[in-house]
Amino acid sequence: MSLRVASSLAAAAALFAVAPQATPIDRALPFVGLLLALLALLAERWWPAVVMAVPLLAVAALSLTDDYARLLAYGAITAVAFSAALVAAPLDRWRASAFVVAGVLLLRWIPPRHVLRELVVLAGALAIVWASGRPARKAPGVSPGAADRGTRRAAAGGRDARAPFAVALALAVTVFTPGVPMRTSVLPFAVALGISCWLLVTGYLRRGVSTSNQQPATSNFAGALLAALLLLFFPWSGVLARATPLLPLLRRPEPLRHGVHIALEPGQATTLDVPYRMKWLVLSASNASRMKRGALLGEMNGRPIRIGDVADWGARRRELSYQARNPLPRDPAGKLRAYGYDAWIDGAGRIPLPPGAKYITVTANDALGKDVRLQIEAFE
Amino acid sequence: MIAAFVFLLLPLVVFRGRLLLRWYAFELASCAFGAVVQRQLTIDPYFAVVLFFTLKLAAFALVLANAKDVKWSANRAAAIAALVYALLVPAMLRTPIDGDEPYYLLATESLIHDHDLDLQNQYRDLAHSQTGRLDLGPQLGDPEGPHGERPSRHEPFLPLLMIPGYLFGGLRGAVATIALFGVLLVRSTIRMMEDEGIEDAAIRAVFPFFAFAPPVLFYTARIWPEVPGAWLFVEALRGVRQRRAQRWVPALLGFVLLKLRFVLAGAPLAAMVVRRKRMLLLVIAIPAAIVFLISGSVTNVHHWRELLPYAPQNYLIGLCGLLVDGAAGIAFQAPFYLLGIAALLRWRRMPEGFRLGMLAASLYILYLLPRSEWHGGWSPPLRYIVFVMPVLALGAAALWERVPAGVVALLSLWTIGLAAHGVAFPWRLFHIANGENAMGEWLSTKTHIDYSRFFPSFIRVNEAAWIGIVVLLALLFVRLRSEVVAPLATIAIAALAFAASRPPKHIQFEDAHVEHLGGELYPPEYTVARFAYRGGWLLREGDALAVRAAKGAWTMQIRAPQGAAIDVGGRGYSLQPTGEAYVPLRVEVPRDGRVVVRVVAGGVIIDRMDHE
Repeated sequence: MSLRVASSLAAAAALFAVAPQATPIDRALPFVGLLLALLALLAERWWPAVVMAVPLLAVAALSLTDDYARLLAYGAITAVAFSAALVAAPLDRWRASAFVVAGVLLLRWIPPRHVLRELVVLAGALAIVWASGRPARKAPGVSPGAADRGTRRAAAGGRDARAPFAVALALAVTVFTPGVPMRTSVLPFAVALGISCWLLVTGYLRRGVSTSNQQPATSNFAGALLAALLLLFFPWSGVLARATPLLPLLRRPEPLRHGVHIALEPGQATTLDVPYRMKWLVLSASNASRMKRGALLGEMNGRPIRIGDVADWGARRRELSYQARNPLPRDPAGKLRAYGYDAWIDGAGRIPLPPGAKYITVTANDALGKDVRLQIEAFE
Repeated sequence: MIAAFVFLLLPLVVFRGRLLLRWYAFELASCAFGAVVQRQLTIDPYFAVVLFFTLKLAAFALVLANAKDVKWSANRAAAIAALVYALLVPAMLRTPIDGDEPYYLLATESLIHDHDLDLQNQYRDLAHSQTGRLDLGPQLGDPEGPHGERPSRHEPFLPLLMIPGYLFGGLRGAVATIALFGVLLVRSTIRMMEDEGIEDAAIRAVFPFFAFAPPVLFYTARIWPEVPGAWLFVEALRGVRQRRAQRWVPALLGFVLLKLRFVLAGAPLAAMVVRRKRMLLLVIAIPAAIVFLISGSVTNVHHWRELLPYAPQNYLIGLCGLLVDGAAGIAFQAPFYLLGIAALLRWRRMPEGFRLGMLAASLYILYLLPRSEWHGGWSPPLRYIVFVMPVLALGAAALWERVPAGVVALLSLWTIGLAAHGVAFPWRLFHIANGENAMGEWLSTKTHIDYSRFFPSFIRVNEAAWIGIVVLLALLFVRLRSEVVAPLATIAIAALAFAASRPPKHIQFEDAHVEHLGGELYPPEYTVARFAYRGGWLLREGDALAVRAAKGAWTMQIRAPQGAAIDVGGRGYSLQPTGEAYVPLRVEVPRDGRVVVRVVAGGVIIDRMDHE
């Protein structure tokens, strides 16, 4: 075992030399490799296969020059390795907890910020796993003192039936827990409490009915699938958490844009020549995160521009997202800002230009709040 | 959709009960994950699909090898192979057939339509040929008949075998015929392993490495005699081991008729089993007589002179090349068979069939090594030793329990990459044998850093080649612990990244890392036996090259038949006419980094540049 630990450390350390420095995820690659290598230890006899994720990360780092493709490769490798280890490991509560800690670190701790809040969220995630586990039953041939220890459960041929799904559920809940403001960190604990109640009730109703100790395949693979889907996007876990429908935007190539960069005050208007072959106007709002769907921001050649067509530019930031009331833009045109759990896509949206228009006039609604601005970002 | 359907059928062949249900649960989960990944991808969607199904096949193989409750037999293995090969045929035919393939097909068409082997009229009417190639003509070395007939230099037995398939489905039918031989090869190899006492678990583990990995995978859906030859060789071996003349005699006859060069493996095998000299002579005389009747010569297009010894260094280069060459060696193109090479070192403990097969093939390999086309020429890698692969697989299977799991994992990953790449881009299986390989070229193209220099090449011998041989020997003689494989692999990649950051000491101007701002490859890509020429990049007035180079003095190997003037990093050099010879030209690179070589007047062919 000590050789395996040393090997895991050596493999992760080697990633320092390979990882490019282009994004925070690249810079965190040795950390990601280390987590995967340590998780592989839990997969026991599948360790040699799972730990191969580390050289694969190195290959991706070396060979993929495009940032998006490289980060997606990191995500895919991490997701597959994590899920494979999750399915292969003889899971007890402690091992499940290790998976949860690793998963939460990958999904929320790159980059590490709001450490106290994050520790609370992590505790909540662990609570979900501990609440989900079935109390260990005494297996034949296992000493009474060992019955509570999950490793013995595994040795006796059984494992915690709900563990893979519980791990995935814990990860899902933590991803979607904002953490800011602090009170939202209660969410995982609430889920854990709900699960406990549910298990108490179902356990009471099923008393006297014998159940198999073997885990159903569907539950295992469903858990692994959910965990894989979450971890696939760990380089952009902030977008996954706060703007899931915008994930396809990540792969969209940089569109050809003609920058405008004007912010209109309430009541202000501007007339712009439409550049050749441009078909869309890209707009966003500023200081408008509390405005609700349908609120009028302004108009373009008489066509109303509302919240829903566009959103507040920074509404999907980690700190603002929970309090924002904006829906996502109908035709989003935002760009990726930052990586990891800090990742967000700005609230820009596209509206079509009138066909054949040579120029347009954009007017900001004069009933907007004093600090609210209608931002004309670009033609596209 | 067809692939998805095939992958639904695969588990039905071998899995049962709870395992089958678990597999389908996995199938569902993996498809859902694949669908999400596919929506996010920016790479070639076809490659993504091929990679996805290759990974699924690998997962299937993993379960097959490790599960306890599976139904297993040689026939079931053949059924699995048949299902997968059914997908392979259309995948390989995405691009026109290449190398020797169209000539075999033309011979089949000639046999069907004209009932002869003269291809003159086929060359004239290529538009009606199923080859899909309009650029075909007689190959270098094709014989010419007394009345101007131009038969192919290739033996006609394979075209004859493809007739039923061709009549049924044209080109696809012909390729399917080869795939059918592939299925038979898989079945016979599994039977051979069973006959030799290999345990079921080891056979199941080795099976996918043999059936769904290069080189068998690529030759199974291509018109070359290698896969039918491999099947007949295995059958001959099994016949000899079982002392069943009715099995080995026809197998050996077919083996030699497929390709005359196979006589170098067939004759020793026959010699080992036939005690009476007369009988042995008869065994050799029958195929020789058939070849004589068809081609008018006992040796067809070959010559007795080819049996004379070559210079010793040619044997060394050929042997090392077949082992570790980046483009054509076992280590890079079919790494699983390194286990077969390792089995050679445990000769006495290996099964009798393995020793018999390797002994029979040794004369053939000995004659292959010194030849300039040891790497296969214009064909997928390892062409000339495909028929030995079942024997090497047998050795690997015999060794399987001693192989560390980490090594298996690494071999699996590399093999998955090779298989997916070859199936998705079948045209990349053909390489111009310039000393680079697909991976080196890909990395070099993307980064303009010379990654090819880190891959061993015995086609254009480089420093990495000798390092590669030393590493291979170390790996063969040192027992690796499973735990160190992943860190070693990661450290090797890290070392590669570090070394790549330093400028090269030798620059080959036809390589992928060079920015070619005009000019063309010399000799052209499709030159027959291009590897026999001294290659380079042809530049005319105004053309240029850009390359990363270190500051200092370099010697350029250059040819300027009419004389020329060139500019290297802002410094001018004039060249007197060199005729057809390459001459050294001393140039000065003013600073580290990108340097542009531009032809100011005349035309030159630049081969390489070495740092002093």
